[in-house]
Amino acid sequence: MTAPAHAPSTADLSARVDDVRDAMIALQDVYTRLGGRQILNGMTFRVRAGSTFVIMGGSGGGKSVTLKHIIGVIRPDSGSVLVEGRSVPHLGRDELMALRKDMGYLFQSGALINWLSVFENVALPLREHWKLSEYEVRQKVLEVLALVEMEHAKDQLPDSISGGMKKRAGLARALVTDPKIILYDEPNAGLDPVMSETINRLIVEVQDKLSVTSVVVTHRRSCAFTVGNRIAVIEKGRVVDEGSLDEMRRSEHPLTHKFLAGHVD
Amino acid sequence: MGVLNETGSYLRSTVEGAGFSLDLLVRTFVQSVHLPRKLRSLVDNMFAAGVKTIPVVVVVSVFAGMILAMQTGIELKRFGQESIIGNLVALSMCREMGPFITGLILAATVGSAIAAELGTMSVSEEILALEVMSIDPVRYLVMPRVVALALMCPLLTAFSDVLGIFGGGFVAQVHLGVTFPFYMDSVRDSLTDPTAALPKDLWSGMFKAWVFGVMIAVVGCSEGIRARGGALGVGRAVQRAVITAFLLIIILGYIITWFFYFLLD
Repeated sequence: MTAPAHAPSTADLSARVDDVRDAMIALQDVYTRLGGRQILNGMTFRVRAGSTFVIMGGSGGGKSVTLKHIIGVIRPDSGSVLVEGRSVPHLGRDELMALRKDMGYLFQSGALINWLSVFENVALPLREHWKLSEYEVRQKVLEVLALVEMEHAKDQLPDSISGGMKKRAGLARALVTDPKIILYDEPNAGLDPVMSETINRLIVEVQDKLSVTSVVVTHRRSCAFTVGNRIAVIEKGRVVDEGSLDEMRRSEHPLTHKFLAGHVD
Repeated sequence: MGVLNETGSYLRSTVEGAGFSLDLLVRTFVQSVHLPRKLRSLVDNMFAAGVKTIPVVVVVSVFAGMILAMQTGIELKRFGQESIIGNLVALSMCREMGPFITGLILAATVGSAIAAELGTMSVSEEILALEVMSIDPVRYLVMPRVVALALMCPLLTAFSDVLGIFGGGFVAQVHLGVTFPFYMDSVRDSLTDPTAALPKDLWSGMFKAWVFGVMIAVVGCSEGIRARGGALGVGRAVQRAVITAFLLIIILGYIITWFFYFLLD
């Protein structure tokens, strides 16, 4: 008996099972409605451990909301969100807190606590969760500030530094706990081309040095192709095209073409 | 239909807000076991809540005591009873005016500042950043503020009581012909209870001030955390925090007075 033409072959199924098993992050048919609007509409993708997965899409396409599902801030109406094989929407508060300790998150604005200096901001998660001496905290913070080239601004308050410096300080804070996963929400938003390149370079350096799994949400072609191993293009809350960098360059999907030509906001 | 929808929507948001505030209150009490680790934040908040409001408390309390003595003194003098002005001012200040004045001042200055601060943090994703770093915002932001106001409101109330009594003494001496030593003797008589170390008129007022302190901080934090929609949303949160705290000071003040002087007596 032969399988029907539309059914996946045994080899395909086996490959998919391996894919899910290897995936550090896996979203499957995620549907979410927020404020009366359907934001995610069948979002499905997998991110392999140690890779950098880029999500490209226009404004309001559900990119940032997707990251918030991964970190467990938003629960989907239906579908599954798996991180390291654990179903994020079904985790209890303590389990979710534990999972988040393995994750770093770079916010669009940096989201630094405004009354703490850059140093204090980066030290915050260490002081809250790790039982380190003040000397060890200082060493660790200075190490990550050096990685993002921000040692010189360690005593400054967030209000007195530029947008690019806030992003770098935010990146340092995301890195300081040695996370396994880093989520970047529009790392280049609001930055000039020079600073954008600096941030892209830092993301690549972090990836090379720490071998973390990264998900980068962006609408900038230069960022996607500089930092990514795989790229997904999303529209109206679902992935419409996905592939390696070469596959995406050869893609004939009209939205991918628009992104590559730089015609999407 | 439009009016019904508006009313329904208003009622719903009011009930949701009240539920959120009550939940915040319970979580704050649970998190207060972590207070020893938040002593620095507690001291900072006590300084902001207490020391910075002292000038306003001084002016308002002294003049409130003077007005109280003047208004009641005019009527008492008509009946030749001006000698009891000390009893009247002392009891009015300790039972009602002290907690009421201090509560209103703290709601207008500190409660609004808390709502603005946390509202700004909320709209700039700083509170979300704490959550994704597995730092409980209730433990980090809310609990130290609530404890600070719970401690400072009774202290400022005691200060306000004393100042109001002295203000009343000044008017008694200058306008009513009651000597200051005689005035102070009648104050002492009215606030002394041979059966208790601390007379009911003092501790019921202190209890009222404690309730006001907790309520002002919780309402400010609740409105701030729920702020959405940029600067406009922060402004609305501040407005709601002040109005709600003012209303609750009046309502809770009545309920506590009824409880101690009608239900328990």
